[in-house]
Amino acid sequence: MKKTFDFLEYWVEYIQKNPNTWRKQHTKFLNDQIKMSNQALNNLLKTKDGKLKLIELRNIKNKNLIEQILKH
Amino acid sequence: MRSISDTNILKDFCEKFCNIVEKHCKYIIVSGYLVIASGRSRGTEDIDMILEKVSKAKFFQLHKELRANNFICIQEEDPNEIYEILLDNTSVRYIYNEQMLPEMELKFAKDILDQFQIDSRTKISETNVNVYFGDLNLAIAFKEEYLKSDKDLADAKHLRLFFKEKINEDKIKGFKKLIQEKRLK
Repeated sequence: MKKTFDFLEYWVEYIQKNPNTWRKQHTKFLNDQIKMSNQALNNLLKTKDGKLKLIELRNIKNKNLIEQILKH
Repeated sequence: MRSISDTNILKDFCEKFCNIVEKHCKYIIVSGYLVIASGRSRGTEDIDMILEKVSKAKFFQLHKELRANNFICIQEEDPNEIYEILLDNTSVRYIYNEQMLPEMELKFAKDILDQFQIDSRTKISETNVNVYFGDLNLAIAFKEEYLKSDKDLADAKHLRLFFKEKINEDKIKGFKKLIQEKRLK
């Protein structure tokens, strides 16, 4: 945990010293993570039994949503 | 003009969802997204929301408007069923239709701690996200006293560093005592 806490101190200091630039970097980091995860799930849809795996993975119970995924 | 690269996917999703909810009932955003919106550099795919406990009729109106705005509940389509899940103190998840992530995980307020946060909810300008958040000191207390994973302890540390001037140790201590009484006994 010490390494994590040391990084947190560094990062908060960085935020304070770079008020005009940190948010753009932070946004890119967050967006890329969401985009990568969505891309992985879209790739899963194209694999054998991928639609059923996605339904199980995301614990989807909404019948309309399941139908929509199966038609994809 | 704002360029596409300036758009924050989580922020936009959160604000759109919260703007709809606010028309129908009080809510707060809690836990991880409060920390991430405050600059913590860790990923998340979901945003946690606590809703005040509303009548079935009110919830139906809320669900109807969410559906009309392209949000869909992962667990159920029927608002009767969704409402029952919420009454059972279980969370439900909404996503944009045809896009799996991010997701909003919502649950009803279940005790005095949740209700206190809703009653004292506030917008936090430092986050640059125009939604209501739960109490900062209670968020720290929850993460240090109740959740306690490495991720949660790091979240609490980040909040302590980022909001140094707003931290009230007496309040945190009081909240920890309340958590012991209400959630851990």
